[in-house]
Amino acid sequence: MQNKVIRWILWVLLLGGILLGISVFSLCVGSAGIPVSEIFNLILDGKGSTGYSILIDIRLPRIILGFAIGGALSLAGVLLQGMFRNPLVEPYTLGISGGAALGVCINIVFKLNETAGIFSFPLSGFTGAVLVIFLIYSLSKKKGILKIQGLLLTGVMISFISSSLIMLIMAISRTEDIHGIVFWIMGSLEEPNWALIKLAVIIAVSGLITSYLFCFDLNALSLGEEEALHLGINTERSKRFLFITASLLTGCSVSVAGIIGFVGLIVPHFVRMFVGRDHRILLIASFLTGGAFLILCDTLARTIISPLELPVGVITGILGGSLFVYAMSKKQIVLGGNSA
Amino acid sequence: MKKSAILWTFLIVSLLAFCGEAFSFPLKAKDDMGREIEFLKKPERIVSLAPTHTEILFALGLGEKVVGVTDFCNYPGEAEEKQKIGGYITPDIESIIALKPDLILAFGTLQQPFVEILEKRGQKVFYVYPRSVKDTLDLFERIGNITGAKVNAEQLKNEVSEQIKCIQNKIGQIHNNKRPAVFRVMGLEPIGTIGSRSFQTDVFYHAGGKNIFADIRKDFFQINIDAINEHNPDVVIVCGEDSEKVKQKLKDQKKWKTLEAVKKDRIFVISCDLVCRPGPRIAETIEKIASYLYPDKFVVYPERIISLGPSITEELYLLGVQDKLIGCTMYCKKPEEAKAKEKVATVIEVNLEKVISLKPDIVLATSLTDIKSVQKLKDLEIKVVDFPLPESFSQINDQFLKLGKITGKQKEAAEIINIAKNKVDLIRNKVKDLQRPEVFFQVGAKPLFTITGDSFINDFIEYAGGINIAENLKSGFFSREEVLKADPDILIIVTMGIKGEKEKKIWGKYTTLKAVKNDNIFIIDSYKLCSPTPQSFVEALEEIANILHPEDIGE
Repeated sequence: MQNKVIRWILWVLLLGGILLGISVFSLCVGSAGIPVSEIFNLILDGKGSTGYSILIDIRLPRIILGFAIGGALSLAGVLLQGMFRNPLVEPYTLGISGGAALGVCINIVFKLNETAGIFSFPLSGFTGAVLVIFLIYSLSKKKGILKIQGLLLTGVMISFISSSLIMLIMAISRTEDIHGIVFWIMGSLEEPNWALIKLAVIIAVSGLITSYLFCFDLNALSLGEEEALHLGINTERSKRFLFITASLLTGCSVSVAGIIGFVGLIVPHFVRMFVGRDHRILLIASFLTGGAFLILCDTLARTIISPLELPVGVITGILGGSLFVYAMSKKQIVLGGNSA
Repeated sequence: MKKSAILWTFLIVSLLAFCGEAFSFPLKAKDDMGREIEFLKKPERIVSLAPTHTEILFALGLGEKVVGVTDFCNYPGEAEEKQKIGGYITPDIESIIALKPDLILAFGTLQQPFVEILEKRGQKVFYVYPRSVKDTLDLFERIGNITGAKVNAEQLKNEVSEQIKCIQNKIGQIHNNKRPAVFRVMGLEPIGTIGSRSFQTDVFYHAGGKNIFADIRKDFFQINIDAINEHNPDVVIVCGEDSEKVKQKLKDQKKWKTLEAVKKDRIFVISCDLVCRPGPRIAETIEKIASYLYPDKFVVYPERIISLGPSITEELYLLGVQDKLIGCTMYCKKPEEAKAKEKVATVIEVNLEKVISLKPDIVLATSLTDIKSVQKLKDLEIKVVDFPLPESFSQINDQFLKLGKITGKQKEAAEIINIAKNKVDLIRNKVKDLQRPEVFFQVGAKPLFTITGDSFINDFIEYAGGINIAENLKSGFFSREEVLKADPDILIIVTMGIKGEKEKKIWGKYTTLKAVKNDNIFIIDSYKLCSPTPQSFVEALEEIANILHPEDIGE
């Protein structure tokens, strides 16, 4: 037992170190070509210079947002995979992203953003996400019991319906509006509003704290619902709570950064390979790894074909996917949470 | 005999004209320490002890003869490559002498001690200290005189006085009481400023302002904040290279907050290299200050422009301001030279880092530009002007005129628009009474996509004397069935990411179509159609009119 705790602490320290290292690396590279040796001076010199503005107003917000979104999505992935005991579940499977995207599409087409301002995008995305969450939740609840498999199927269906609706909207809207929608769907960590970034961080971190309260429930749930019940877990309460936490984390991420795929699917699996499947460490480790991973991907997206930028989803997909396949071939393990 | 006499006369006359300046030596000239200095011959090795002198020497075309300059001599760029002899108040006497100069130019009271030292060491030193704008203009002549560059000096003097006159005409007559009161900060701790014996006081006067301490007969002196407050200046002028930082530093000091001008943020930061040098750029300095004092009379046009739309880039070239374009999108390929400009974006995605590091005065965005990026740029206090996609020819023109206004090329823009309009009218007149064929305009293949009435491309069809069968539709999606039903006379395929020839073949299968029967399927290059400048609109229109009415338009 004692050994385990020490190992966990080492993992957290290691991952925290990696996160910090990647953040610093990300701050140092970019298309503006600021030499690494000058960065320290630029920050010390403070406001006023162009270099400072690039570092603090452009790069730093992206790093912080990458941390929050990457962490939140990975966390949501862990929660859902643990709860559903299904390795293919990710935050976007449940139709939450579809709902958010639909909300934003409607916003663009009806030009709400022209009257309500830039803040209306995340707001409409979030509204869409929350509506879908409630829809799925109420559809899957029968006689006060949340049917887990039903929840998954309803989510997948709602996801299809909303993507069809998005296509419908795109088909009948003007060229310029389509660009706006495509953009948003591609996902980006570029967010001009500091308040939103802070909000994303707060939500991600409080999501981590809340879900940590349920780490034993999650461990029990991964044995199977019935077993968990026998172990004395109030499964209904924890399922409800975990589902809502994961949904809010996803909805919030999607509404701020658009749809950034693969993070929520791959990071939990990846982390599970190394730290094991105990949720006490898995939650924190996934959160840190997800943050680091997304910051790294965004840095690559910014720099690979600089001065142009790639959508960050391209990198998360390619890098994450291939890294994962490689690791899986090296390390023989069972995916998902079906067995303890 | 006669012939050779003419030849001789010619030779001598040209030689005289050529060396005319050399013949004025030996000469005597008085410097500003009241000494009469004799020059036996034209100086060939000149050391400049002040940036002002360096600028004047280069402006007179004597750059070659400058063998030594101070560490601060940074203008023009070539000056920086010259041998350095130390700072302005810390010149290194030994290295000056080692350069074996035959003329040393000294400047300002602070250098008077060096004049004596150098003189004792057998050097020829000419000392000056201009106290006004007129002194500065005369200084060009005086230096031209002793260096054998009289003609150039006269020309320089005329040029600069002309520029100053031009600025003063813009400002107009101003009564002394109406002149904005200027306080010039020469030092923060303790506060230093200038009086009537500094040329800068006169520079402010020429810029339509007045130095609040113009009645103090000193060049430079210290003062306390209360004395400044008593005069309540309208503007504060301070020099520095990083204007934001300098401004902040001034604002941060408590005592300055009592000043009305500081409270109202009427602080202007001007480059020290400009305002502290009574040299050839004095007109530029006057204009800068005049533009602070009379902003409505001096519209400042952007010097560094970033264009985020291919058509905007093309239009900037049309307006002849391509030199000010410092960045554009990957897709800005017209004209050819635009390909060489720095790339900062795709049509939709902007690399903010790159944009900011280029320090643009203005960013020209389109409706395709990501609004998040636009918002971010605005937050960072970069001016962004939006150019939505035009919906008609007249909107293209309006936007072109807007661009002209922004870049200070309104007249040129209006002219180009006029020419384009005339050409368009000409074509419209030609096709006015002709039969109007029905046209289907294909811009997308899978799914089939066409142009509706709310695009400027619809104007092409209308102006060229045709009827767009999809004009009244809301969306561009169109089925083949509809096309067959409408049976247009002409099919036009735009190669916008689709293969024109392949599409033509597909249409060819529908032999019932009138357009197919009469072989009326045409392919147009999308570049011509989709980057709408007034000029390219006319070109594309001519092509389409030619397709619609081949007999009547002709080449």
